[in-house]
Amino acid sequence: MGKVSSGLTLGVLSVCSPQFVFLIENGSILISKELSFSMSQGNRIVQSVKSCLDEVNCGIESVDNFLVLTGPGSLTGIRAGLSPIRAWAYALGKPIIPMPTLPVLAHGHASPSVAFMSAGKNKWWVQEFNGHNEDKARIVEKDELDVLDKKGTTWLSPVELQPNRAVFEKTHPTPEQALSMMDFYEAKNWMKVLPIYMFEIQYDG
Amino acid sequence: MISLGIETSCDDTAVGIVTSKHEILSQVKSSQDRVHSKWGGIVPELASRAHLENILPVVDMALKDANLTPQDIDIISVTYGPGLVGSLLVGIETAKALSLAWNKPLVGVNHLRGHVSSVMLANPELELPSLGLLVSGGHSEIVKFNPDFTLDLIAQTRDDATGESLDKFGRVLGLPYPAGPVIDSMALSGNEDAFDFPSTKLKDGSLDFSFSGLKTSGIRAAQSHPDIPKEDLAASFFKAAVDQLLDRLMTATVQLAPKSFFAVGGVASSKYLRQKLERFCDAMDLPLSIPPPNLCTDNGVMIAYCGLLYYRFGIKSSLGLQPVSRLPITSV
Ligand SMILES: [Zn+2]
Repeated sequence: MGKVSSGLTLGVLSVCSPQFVFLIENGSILISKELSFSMSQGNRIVQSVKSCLDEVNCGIESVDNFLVLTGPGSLTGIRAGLSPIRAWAYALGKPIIPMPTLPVLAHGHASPSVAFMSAGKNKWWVQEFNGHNEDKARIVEKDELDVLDKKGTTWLSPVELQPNRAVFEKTHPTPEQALSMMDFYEAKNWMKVLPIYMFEIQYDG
Repeated sequence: MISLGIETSCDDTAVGIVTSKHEILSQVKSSQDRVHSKWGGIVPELASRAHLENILPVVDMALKDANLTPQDIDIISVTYGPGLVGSLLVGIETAKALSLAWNKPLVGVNHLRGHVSSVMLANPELELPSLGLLVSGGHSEIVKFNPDFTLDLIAQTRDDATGESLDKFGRVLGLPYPAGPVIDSMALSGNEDAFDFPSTKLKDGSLDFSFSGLKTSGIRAAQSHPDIPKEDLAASFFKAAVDQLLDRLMTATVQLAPKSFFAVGGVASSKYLRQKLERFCDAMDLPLSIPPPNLCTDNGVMIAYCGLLYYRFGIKSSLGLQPVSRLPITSV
């Protein structure tokens, strides 16, 4: 499947708080809902998608393609987004545009920057952006972050990092960033859209 | 009426399709034993990732096996608890999304009630009230199934579940995970009187079970008696566990005067337990119903069927359905 930039897109950004569900039509955001993400409130993604669709008088069957963050991020958040998005794509025979969290998070911010998210147990997912080339997301130990803390680097993350870095901006992926990144990622069949987890587990299942 | 049931509470991704006329149209299960055997138990993170990968292919296969399209399905039933929250979440969110996409009612099902309803599916003529054992890797309970379809909890385990104690003892004997089925066949061939494990009675006179003491004696026996063949130790251990179940069942029978007995849950697929229960029920002169092994272990069919019973009683769920890790059998 190729690139998609027309029609109605249903997006879910669920890997950290706040979460967003939104609809994009022909290159602009039609409606967007922000949800605060907490285990006690449970998962409200499917309900919120339903109310977005109701508000624009649309059924889920009118959606042409889906957009979702595949991680890294909160494990619960990743599952809560990928489970319904994959099910809708399967049930309706429509493609999914999978996006990794860190490039979406860094998009539109001044470079050089380092986007990071917790990978649990004092480890961090990091990805450096310097304006032209981007490296791959990788997991580093906390000590290695100091090496990356070069002058002028902006640190971007939904979580605070102690001790604070020179230039830190608390931020999170937004529907606007996802919209402007849409053309960079290929739409795929639901079977090919799987999570990028917080930590790597070796298993041969 | 046709129900599609989704079950992801533990390590199996299972989907079943069943009709209100007790016909099983399909039953598909993707087991994760191979994923977890490497770690000697269930790893929650691996379980929920595998559920995410497997759930839709399993749904799709269940529809194809039944020769149905989504339009033919009348309700979508899904386990909402008890179980691992991360695993339940994958099943629930998938079910909600399918319910919205296919425009079908959603019914959240208590996994434990799903197990109990499997006996009605296998034997619609079951005489009520019926007294039964729910025995699995996660549960050991005696329940009374009343004529109005309500359930009373008569006894439960204070510590390990029956299946859990078998798996843990199996690990000490060096058996592969899950050890239950291996211990079952060892128990059938071994000498169950080779080692005398102490019987467990609770001091407060309650009918509740306790398997942790048995587990400790089992581990000690395995370490201090390398001379006793593994088959004999396994048989003696399983006998002690079953004796405890039957002891409580006997007392409950005298108190509650049921018209029949049943056994459900993964351990109810054990041939050894079946033999013992058959003998017990013959002695009590009451009929025994045990669903076939593929309906005893976790499966989607029992969830689909239980969903139909819920729906018949007017119970439905909203898109706000959430996973519940601890859910008593007495809850809907
Ligand atoms: Zn079970």
